[in-house]
Amino acid sequence: MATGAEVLGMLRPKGGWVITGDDFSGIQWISCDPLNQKEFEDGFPAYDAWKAEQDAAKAAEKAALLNRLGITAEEAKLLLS
Amino acid sequence: MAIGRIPEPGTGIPESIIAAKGDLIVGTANDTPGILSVGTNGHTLVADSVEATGLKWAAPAGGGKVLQVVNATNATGVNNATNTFADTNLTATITPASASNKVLVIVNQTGLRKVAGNAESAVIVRLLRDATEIISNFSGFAGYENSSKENRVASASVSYLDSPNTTSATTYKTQFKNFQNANGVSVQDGNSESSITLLEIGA
Repeated sequence: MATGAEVLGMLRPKGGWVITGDDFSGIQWISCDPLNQKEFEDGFPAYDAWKAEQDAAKAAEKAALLNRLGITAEEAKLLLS
Repeated sequence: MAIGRIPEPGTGIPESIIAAKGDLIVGTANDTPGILSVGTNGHTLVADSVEATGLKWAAPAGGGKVLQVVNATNATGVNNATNTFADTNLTATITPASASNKVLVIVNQTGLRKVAGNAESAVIVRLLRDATEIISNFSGFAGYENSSKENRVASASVSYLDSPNTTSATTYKTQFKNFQNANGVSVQDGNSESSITLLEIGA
């Protein structure tokens, strides 16, 4: 489950905000365009989906690399240890 | 039994000068008796040339003793994605008994975190007495590592012996910011508990 800071980090990645806790009421807009409450709250499932997508893409990229190298993940760990 | 010169009849200090329990007969000038009314329970008599009687009742000096302790905690995460100071919400208020007493401030600011994304991000935490900054940065540049990776630092602590010179309610608090105007830095990350303790030390 995403945190409020993670949602803001996705929707306002350049910063300009402060958030206390995870609620919309805890946000201070310092130097960025403010979101409304719905945009913020819709960001939670959007962040979770985006994160799952990012994780899946990373895993696929890693698997493809291991495949190209012709080694397993355990063998790669041994090489790096 | 009192020991002293017995005054001749009609020449001594009249009994009527005493009006209440605890009244003390004191000299206010040469050949001039006066009355000092009883003080507050627990107070002691001290010399003070400013007073008409040359004496006054006052709270006993603490002499380095701890007179009171105030403690507060906060475990709600705050994330600051700017380089402008924001409250960590760690705050405590103390009312010193005497303006000459000192306040020992002990802070443990936990859950410092640099969020991934900006190589130059770092956590800066400062300590304030009311609106006055008394320590500009006690966290160093926590989390800085010249990479855009996330970095978590357990905590930053400080002890500061302050002389607030007041008997009014005085609030101590911490604020934090990102070294860069970017996303971002956190305190009380993961709802870790920060604490602030104020000890009034007698002068």
